[in-house]
Amino acid sequence: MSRILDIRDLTVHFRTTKGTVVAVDRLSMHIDDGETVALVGESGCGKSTTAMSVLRLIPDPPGRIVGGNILFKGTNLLSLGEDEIRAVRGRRIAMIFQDPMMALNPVYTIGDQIAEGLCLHLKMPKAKAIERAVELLAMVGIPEPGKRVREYPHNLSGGMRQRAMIAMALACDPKLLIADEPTTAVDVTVQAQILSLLRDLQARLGMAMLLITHDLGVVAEVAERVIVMYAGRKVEEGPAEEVFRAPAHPYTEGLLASARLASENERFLKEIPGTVPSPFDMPPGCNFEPRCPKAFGKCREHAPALERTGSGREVACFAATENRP
Amino acid sequence: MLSPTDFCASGPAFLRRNRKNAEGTAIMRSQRFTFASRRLLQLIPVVLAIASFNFILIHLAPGDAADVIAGQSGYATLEDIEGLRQEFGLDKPLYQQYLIYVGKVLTFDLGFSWVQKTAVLTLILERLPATLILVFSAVAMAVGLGIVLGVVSATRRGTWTDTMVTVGALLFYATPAFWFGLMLIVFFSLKLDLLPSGGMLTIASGKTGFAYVADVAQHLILPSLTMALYYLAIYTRLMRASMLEVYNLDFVRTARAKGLSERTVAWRHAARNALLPVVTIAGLQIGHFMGGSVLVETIFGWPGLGRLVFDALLQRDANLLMGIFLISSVLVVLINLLADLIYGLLDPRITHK
Amino acid sequence: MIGWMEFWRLYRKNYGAVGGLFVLIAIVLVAVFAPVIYPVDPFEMVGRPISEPFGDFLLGTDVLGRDILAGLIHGARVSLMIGIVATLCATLVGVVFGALAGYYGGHIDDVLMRITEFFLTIPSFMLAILLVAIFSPSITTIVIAIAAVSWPSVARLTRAEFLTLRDREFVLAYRAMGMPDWQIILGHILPNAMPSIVVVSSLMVATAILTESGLSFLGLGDPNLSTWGHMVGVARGVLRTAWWMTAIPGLTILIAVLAINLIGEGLNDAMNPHLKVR
Repeated sequence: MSRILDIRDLTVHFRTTKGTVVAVDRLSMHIDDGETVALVGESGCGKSTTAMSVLRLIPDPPGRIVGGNILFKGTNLLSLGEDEIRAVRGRRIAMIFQDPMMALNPVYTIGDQIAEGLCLHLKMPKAKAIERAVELLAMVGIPEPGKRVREYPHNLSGGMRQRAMIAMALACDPKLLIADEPTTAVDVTVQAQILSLLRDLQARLGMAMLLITHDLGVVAEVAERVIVMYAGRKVEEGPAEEVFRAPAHPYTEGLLASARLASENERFLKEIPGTVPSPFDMPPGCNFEPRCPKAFGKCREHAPALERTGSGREVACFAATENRP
Repeated sequence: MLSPTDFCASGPAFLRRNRKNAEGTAIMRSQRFTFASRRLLQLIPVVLAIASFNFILIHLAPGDAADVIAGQSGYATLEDIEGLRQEFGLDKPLYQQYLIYVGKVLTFDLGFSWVQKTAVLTLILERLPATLILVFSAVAMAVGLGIVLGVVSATRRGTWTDTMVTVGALLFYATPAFWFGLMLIVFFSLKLDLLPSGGMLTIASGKTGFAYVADVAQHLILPSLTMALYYLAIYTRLMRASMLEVYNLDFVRTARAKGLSERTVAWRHAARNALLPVVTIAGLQIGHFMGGSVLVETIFGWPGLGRLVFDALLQRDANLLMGIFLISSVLVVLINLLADLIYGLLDPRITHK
Repeated sequence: MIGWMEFWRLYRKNYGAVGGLFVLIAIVLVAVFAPVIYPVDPFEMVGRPISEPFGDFLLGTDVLGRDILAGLIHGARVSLMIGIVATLCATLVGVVFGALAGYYGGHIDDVLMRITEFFLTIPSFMLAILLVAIFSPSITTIVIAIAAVSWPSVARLTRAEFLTLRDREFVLAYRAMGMPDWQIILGHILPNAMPSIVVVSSLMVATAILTESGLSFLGLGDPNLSTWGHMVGVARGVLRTAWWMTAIPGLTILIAVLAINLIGEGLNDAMNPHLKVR
C-alpha cells in the first residue's frame, strides 16, 4: 500500500486586522492509494483550510502556508512552481466544493466547463472533449446526458449540479479527489445518492478521496479512516469504525453523543458545553480544556501531543493516554 | 493580454447556440420575438407622450403658437404663417388642435423647416446615419475599453497601473466633453496634423469602397473618443468594482482548482460575468449618449442630428428642434431594446417573459 | 445619524475628498469675495484683444479685450449658483416623487414611475436644450431646465430607499401607533434615506455645472452673464491661434467638477462606510 498523500506538520497562518490566526497547527496525516479518509470537525477548525492547502488555493494575502510539507506521490507540492502546481490541479488531484450552484460558472454550459479541463490538461480538441463530457455525465448518473451537456447550471436540479461537478472533477482521471463538504448544500435525500455515487466511482477508478465534513453520518457511510480536528489541531485519528465505537478523545465523544440523538430515543440534545475558543485567545494548554468534562490540572498548562494508542490510532489527550477515568 | 484562444477555446456559448439543440433554440427565438414585439408596441405610448409634450410646449412658449411652429427666423412669410394657422386649426378649440397635431405626428408629418425649405422628417433622416455611426462607435469604445481597463485595473489591484487607471477615470469623469474635444483638435489636428479636425469625409475626394470606409474611420476617431470619454470613466470603475465582487464568488475558486492560469480565470471566467452590469448600465445610458451628440457633432462638424440641433438653434427653428427631439427619443427606445436583447444573449439566466 | 466628529473622521480618510473640499472652499471664497479682491468687470474691455497670459493680465484677454481672469471669477459665481439651485430644486421634486411612490406603492407608484421612466428614456441634454431654446435663455430657464432633467434619478433613488425602509419594523410600529403618514415619512423614513440622497445630490451639482457649461457653450446661456462654458464657446473661433483661451476656462470647469466629485465620494465613504469596496 503506497501513500498517495502525505501531509507533514502543515501550519497555515491568516493575517487579520486583529492579529495573526493559526488556522492549521502542525497537522500531519496521510492517505493511501484508493483510500477514503474523512477530516471531521466544527466550522472553523481548519479542515477546509487543510484541504485548500493541498492544491495551494489559499488566498495570499491574507493566508499563508508557513510550515510543513505536502507530499503527493513523493513530490512536495509546496515547493512546486506556479506552472507545476497548475499541472497538478484538476489533473492529478481534483477538488469539488460545497455549493454546486455557486461553484459552477453561470454563463457557460455544463459541457463547456467539463471540456475546459480536458482541453487544458489532455490537449483534447473541443469536439472530442464535449463527447467525453457526455460520457462523464452518463458515468455520474445524469439521465439524457446528450441534452444536459448543452444546458446551463441554473437549468439543473441541485443533485444533478453536484453530479456535474463530480463529472468535471473526474474528467482527467485524477488519483486523489478532495471533496469539501460535498453533501452539505444538497437535500438529505440526494445526499445518500451522492455518497453512493462517490463510493462507486472510487472503486471503479481506483481513486483516493479526502472527504471534508462536519457530518458524522457522512463519515460513517464512506470513510475508512477518520481524523478529528479541533481549533486547528488534530485531536484523534483512527479507523472509522473503531473511532465511532470507542472514541478516545472527549471532543470526539461529545460529537458522537450529539449525533446519536435520534437513534437512542433521547429527549434532549446532548451538547458540548461552551464554544470554540476565539483564535486570538487560545487556551494556554489543551485547546479543548475549557469545555472538557475530563480535564484536569495538567491540561491547562501543557498542550497534549499526539500519541499512538494502537495500529493506526492516535489521540492528543492526557486523559485518554494517562488512563484517567 | 487577450488572445483569441482565451475566448475561442471554450468559447462564449452563445456563439455556438445555433448549431445546438434545435428545439431549445426555437423556444428561445420565439420568446425573444414576443419580447421584442411587446417592446416595440411600447413605442406608441412614448411617441404619444412626446407629441403631447411638444404640443404643450408650443402653447406654453411666449408668443403666438403659429410663430413658434414657423420658427422665429423670419424666413416664413405672413401668408405661410396664415397657412399654418389653418393647417393646425389654431382657431379651433384646444382639444381639436391636439388631435390634429397628434394625428400629424402619427402619420409621420413632423412639419416643415422654413429656413432649410425641406420637411423636417427628411432633414432628420438625412442626418440620422451619421449620428448612429458616431453613437455606436462611442458606445463600443466606452464599453469595450471600459471592460478591458476594468479587468486590468482589478487584476493589478493596488499596483501603480491600478492607481493610474483609477485616477484617469476620475479625471475623465470630470472633464467637459466639449472642451476635451477642442483640446484634441488643438493637439492632434492643429499641432501634430495627424487627424482631421472636422467633418465626416475629406471634402470632394470622391472615395469609394474601402477607401471611403477608411476615410470615415479616420474622421471618426476624435469625435467618438470625445463622446466616449465620460462613459469610459464610468464603465472602467464599474467593471473594476464588478470584477472585485466576482472574484469572491465560488466559481472562480473552482476555475483555479481546475488548474487554469490566473489570466484565464480573470478573462474567461471572472470578466465574462463581471461585464454584465456594465452592459446593463450602458444600455440605460443610450439617451445620454444621444444627448451628447449635440456638443460633439457641433465641435467636429459631424453631419448628424446633433449638428442639426445646433443649426436649428441658430436659425430659431422650434419645429425642427421638436422633431429631432421626437425622433431621438424613438431611437433611444429602439436602441434600448437592442441593448436588452444583447444582454439576454450574454446572460443565459435571463428568460424574456 | 452619525455625529459630526465621527463623520469627519470617516471623511478624512479619503485624501482625495479632503483635497476636493479645500479646492471647492477656495473656489467659493473667490466667488463670494470677487468684487473685493479683484474688482474688474468681466464685460469691460480693459486691454488689447487676444493677449497672452502672464503679460499685462494674468490670464490674458479674450477676443474683445476683456480680462479672462475676471471672466473666470465671475463665472464661478454663476456656475456655482446655478449648479446648487438647480440641484436643490431637482432634489426637492425628486424626493417628493420618490417618497410618495415608494411609500404608497400601488397605483400611485405606477403613475409616478411611468412619468419618471419617461424622463429617463428621453435624451436629457436635448430636452434641456429644447426647454431653454423655447423659453428664451435666461438664468431662470436654465435652472429650471437643468432641474427638469435631473430630478428623475433622485426620484428613483428615493423610491428604492423608501421601498426598503417602508417594511422595517419601526415603521410598522409607528403605523400601529396611529401616527399620520406624513409624519412617518418626513420625520422617520426620510432621515434614514438622507445619506444616499445627499451623496447623489452632491454629485448632481457637478453634473449640473457640466450641463450648464454645455448649454452656455452652445450659446444658450444667459446673455447678460459670462460663464465658463460661454467663454470656451466664444474662444472657439480663435482655436488655431489662441488655444489657451479655450483651454483655461475649460480647465477651470474640470477642476471644479473634479473637486465636487471627490467631495461626493468622501461623503459616500463617510455616510455609507459599510458599502466601501476598495
